[in-house]
Amino acid sequence: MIIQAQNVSYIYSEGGPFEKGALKDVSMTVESGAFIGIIGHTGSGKSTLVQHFNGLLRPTGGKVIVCGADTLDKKADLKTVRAKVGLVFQYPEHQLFAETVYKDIAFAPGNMGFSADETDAAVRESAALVGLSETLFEKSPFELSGGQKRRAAIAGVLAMRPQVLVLDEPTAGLDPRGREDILSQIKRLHAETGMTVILVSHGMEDIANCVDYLYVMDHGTIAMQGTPAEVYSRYERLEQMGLTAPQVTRLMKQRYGVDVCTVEQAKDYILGVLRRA
Amino acid sequence: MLKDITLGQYFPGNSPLHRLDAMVKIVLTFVFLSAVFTAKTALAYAAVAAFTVVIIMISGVPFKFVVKGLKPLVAFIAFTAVLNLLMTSGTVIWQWGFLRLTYEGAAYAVQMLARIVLLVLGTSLLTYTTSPIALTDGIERLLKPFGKMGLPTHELAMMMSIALRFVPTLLEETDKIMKAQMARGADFQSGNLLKRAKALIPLLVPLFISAIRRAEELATAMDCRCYRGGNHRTRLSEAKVTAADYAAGCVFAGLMTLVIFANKVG
Ligand SMILES: Nc1ncnc2c1ncn2[C@@H]1O[C@H](COP(=O)(O)OP(=O)(O)O)[C@@H](O)[C@H]1O
Ligand SMILES: [Mg+2]
Repeated sequence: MIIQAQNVSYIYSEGGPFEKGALKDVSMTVESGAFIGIIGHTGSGKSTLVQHFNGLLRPTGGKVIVCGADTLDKKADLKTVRAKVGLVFQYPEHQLFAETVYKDIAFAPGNMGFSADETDAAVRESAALVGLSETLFEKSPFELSGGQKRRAAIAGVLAMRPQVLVLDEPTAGLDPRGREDILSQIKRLHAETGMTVILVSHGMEDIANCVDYLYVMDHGTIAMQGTPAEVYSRYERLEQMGLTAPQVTRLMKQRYGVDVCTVEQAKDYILGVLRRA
Repeated sequence: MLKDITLGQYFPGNSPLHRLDAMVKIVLTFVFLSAVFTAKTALAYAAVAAFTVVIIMISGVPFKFVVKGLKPLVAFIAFTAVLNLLMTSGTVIWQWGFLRLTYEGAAYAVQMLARIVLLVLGTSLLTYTTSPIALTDGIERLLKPFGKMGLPTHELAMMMSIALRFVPTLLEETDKIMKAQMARGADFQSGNLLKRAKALIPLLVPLFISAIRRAEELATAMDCRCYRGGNHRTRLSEAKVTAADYAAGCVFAGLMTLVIFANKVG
């Protein structure tokens, strides 16, 4: 396994007057090459959890082991951990700063000590992976459209050539078309490179048809886990947590009593039923 | 973390100090400042210190929180103390090159130390117990006489309340961008001065952009609600000076008298 969280708790401003518990006894294991989803409504602790995966936050209780290194260990090399686990923050376009798109994407490899040639290769490769055209390289990142900015920002993290890519709500604030584009790009990236991907989302439809395994967070704990079909089939419980299962799941459960989570699967099932009839 | 800076924050509560009128509290803060500067003798300082402790207790703000507010100033306080200690002329106790330790220097350093700490503690109690909105409202009322002379008091107060309102937001934003850049391998802690200054570019550029964006959005939102400055505006709740405010005024006048008296005696 590549990331392991053991009974992790996290309290913001511990001991202060505005102390705020954000995680309670969270355990999870991420195997190398997996595609994991984390869902939960706003404030359930998703962002706090994923910031533990590259050592930006360190647990106030329990421990996190990333690629064999305990992030609480004083001697742990956090920079290496951050190079191995690329974390794309929510609204990553807010971190763009360089004069050109190229320089912005080259920021992380430069920090990680890549040579000039390696950096150049990494920039081109990661731009291609997110579907960002090289003709944009010499533009200012602030001239790009919303969707392009986000791609550039994701490329900026991919350029470190991480082993794990963590994306915190990568589709937030995009229109349906942009959302679809980014998600299919991420799916392709996982299929082509075999990179471990952790996708955080507060919506369900988004990730139903990409991830192999799903964690559901509620009030700083893991409330449910399983394959998407397993999780979505318990949509009454999800609704109690302020989440809604995809409409197709509800429909198929009520009509046929089966667990599916994508329109594709529903189509296959119905066709099967019709053929047998 | 940045958010853990307590100086200047509002500490919500309902103590007698919280309930005092903001304008009165500002005036009382000035009285307190004068008392600190008037104090000359150890006895007078002790009186002010005791008074400070008592009002902190009344305010209900935990001591730990108040003392933490001094933290960002430790370097400044230490620097002032050392400077005073070594640069004052008088009876020499110890000398090394141009540095000399004198009785007068030691006394002066202690006095300055006490003065700065009391100043910070006393004045920060104003922001701890007054919400930013009440504070700017108090400033606006205090400045009213100058409005007749053409000073745009409402606009000044509005600017201040907006600035105060955005301090926590910008701190939060700074924290977020810092983390995002650290995730890309940025290092804000090591290297020499030049390297560190350069490392700030990836932090400052996005921060300025977001601040400007927020300012534009706020301006639009205010326009949409027909904001047009100070004239003809009315208030939802008019602040009133009450008996408690007069009583507080008497207490602070008492402090001032005590300090003057202590200066004479000790
Ligand atoms: N920097 C911070 N300081 C204090 N509290 C925070 C901070 N960031 C998040 N929180 C709190 O921690 C909880 C979990 O937040 P977060 O991890 O951002 O949730 P999510 O990403 O699921 O929306 C929330 O209650 C939030 O208010
Ligand atoms: Mg979040």
